[in-house]
Amino acid sequence: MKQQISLFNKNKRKILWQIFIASLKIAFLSFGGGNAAVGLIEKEFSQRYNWIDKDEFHKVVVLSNILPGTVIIKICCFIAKKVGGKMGFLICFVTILFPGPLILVLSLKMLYVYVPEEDLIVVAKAILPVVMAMLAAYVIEIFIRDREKKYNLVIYSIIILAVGIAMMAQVDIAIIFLTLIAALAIFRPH
Amino acid sequence: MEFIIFLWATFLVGLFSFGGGKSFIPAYQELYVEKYHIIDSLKLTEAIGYATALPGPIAPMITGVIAYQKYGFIGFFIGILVQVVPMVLVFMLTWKLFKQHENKRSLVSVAKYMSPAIIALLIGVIFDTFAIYKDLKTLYYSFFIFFIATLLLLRYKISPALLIVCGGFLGYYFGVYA
Repeated sequence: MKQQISLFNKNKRKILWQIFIASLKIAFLSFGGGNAAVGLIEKEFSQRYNWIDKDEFHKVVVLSNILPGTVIIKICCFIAKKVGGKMGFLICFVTILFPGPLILVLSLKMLYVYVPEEDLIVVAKAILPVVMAMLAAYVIEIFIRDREKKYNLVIYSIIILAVGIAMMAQVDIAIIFLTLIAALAIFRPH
Repeated sequence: MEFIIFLWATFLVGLFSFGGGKSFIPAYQELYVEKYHIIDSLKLTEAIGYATALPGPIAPMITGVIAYQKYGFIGFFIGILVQVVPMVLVFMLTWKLFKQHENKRSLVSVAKYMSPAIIALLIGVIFDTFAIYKDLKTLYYSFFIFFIATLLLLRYKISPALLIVCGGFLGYYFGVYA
């Protein structure tokens, strides 16, 4: 049975408020979009609030990359639903999804007239190295944790190399993942 | 009728692009411009430019701008919801299925060895992002900031908001991105 969350319970209200704040931060800080924001989401949802442990977070990242759609919304909404129930899901969904498009639409005329696109890109360019640093920190942490589990190192590095080369050859990500899943399901490496 | 075609194209874009973020752009090009002729290529490029420069998920922003320009606020909300709700539902259902069958033998190795694939994907995202710095001086500076920030993040617990604001401010102060 899942517990329904009532708005009158003080503890639950606090969690919903925290979900709102965290989602708002993601909505306004996740420059670059998509997988670039994974490190930021991990910092907020997993490290600061401890809503999800690192192993499960990584599983969510993996699954949301295998399935179609926007990565940020899927990861955040899943975690929000896990801690805050349906209400948490709804709050997270609305606060992450709508600020960006609304700002863009409401300021569209102003942006087109007053701010050339190049200037906006300057802001994004100045911020992107830090966002990438968060992503790199996340990748390094996964690396370190994976080394402790019993991975076959040869297969591990072959997969990294193969996926990297396939991506450089601009093969579609869906095709790469489907091939990989089929190969893993057939050969079952341990 | 036109509106329904637009919604159908939006729905397809949401369900046929993997990886999130910039990986949506080819799907938009193919469905919006080439197949259903909803907008022309120039308008799409403009929308993509603004969407990638602002924070937040990219695909809803592109959809929102195009829907708003063509159908106003009602189109804006319906378009975004039609795009996003199906993929969130698909994700939730698949997670449930995955949790039920997590311990089956064929799934164990798949779940385990998807980790390096995702690592390769994320490293690819980092490389792609650094490819936008055409100027050599900017590239060096960005890499320097990137390196320092990574070390700080691995060593200490820093608020991401503070770090992002500091990074942006430093970039402006030294004027390398102008």
